[in-house]
Amino acid sequence: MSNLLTFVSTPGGQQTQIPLTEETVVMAPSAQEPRTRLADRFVFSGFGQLTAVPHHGRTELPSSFYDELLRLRSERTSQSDFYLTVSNFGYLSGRLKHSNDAIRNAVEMDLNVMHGNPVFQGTRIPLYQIIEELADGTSLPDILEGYPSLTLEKIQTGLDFAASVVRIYDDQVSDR
Amino acid sequence: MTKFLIDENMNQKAVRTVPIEGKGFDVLFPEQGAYKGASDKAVRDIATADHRVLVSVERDFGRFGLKPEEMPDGAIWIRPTGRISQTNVGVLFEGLCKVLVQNFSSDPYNFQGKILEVYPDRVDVRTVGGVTSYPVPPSTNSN
Repeated sequence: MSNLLTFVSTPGGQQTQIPLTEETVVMAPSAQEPRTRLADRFVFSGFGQLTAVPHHGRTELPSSFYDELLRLRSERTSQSDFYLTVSNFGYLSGRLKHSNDAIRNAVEMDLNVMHGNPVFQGTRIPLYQIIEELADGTSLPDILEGYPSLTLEKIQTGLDFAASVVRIYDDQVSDR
Repeated sequence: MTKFLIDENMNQKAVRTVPIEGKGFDVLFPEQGAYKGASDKAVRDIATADHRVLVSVERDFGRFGLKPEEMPDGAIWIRPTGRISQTNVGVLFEGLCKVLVQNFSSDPYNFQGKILEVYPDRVDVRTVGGVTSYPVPPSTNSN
């Protein structure tokens, strides 16, 4: 397990890495604060497993989540496990923002549409779903028939975006 | 008559392998409705307003985050455990039909107050009273 946690703090894509220590700090909101928070407001450490916390940016979390945090803070033991799900929404939206015009005109991301997954512009069809169709052997003609909102050109441009997020861009690596 | 709203993320070719239109159901596809590219909430609202059963691929658990009482006319979440594809979605639909006919034979297409979660091996039916799992019968013509 990595000793760093990465939080994606906003849909704009800022990321924060937090080193894990033996000390556990849970910054749960007070009763007065709104229960819509960003992931980077919470720090978990010292647990054997880490996985779960807020999702990308402005998602309102169920009250039960915060209640559970508060309970764990008061009752924490070495057996307590947190499960942290870190969304890559910020990274993907950042990549999309820096993509060429063709891609930005073909792909969009909106937290209210398909849970924020990149979709083909003007549709509710996630890119990943078409990639999975292709991976499963569905032919392009069948895909076009199965998803009438798509065109071959849209699919190709969507795949261009998908390709762009699975390559390394050295110019984005910090000098630190 | 049961009415369905097919979400835009459904592979329509897979949907049409099930002869729901042939059974006289009223099925709304995105091309006929006004929900292409719409928000999750808008799609839900259209389904509710028109008393339609919402049918969607829903692998991101909680995307709609709905309770059965919030979908009075019902919803069907297709949840492949593997790839979302025409083949796999078609298999899930087939399994769903078997479960409905086998377990709800008196009124298999009454989804009121139910959210059905369709997995490869089972169908979970959520109601205000709780969740009941129904195993998908094995295919009779399996290889």
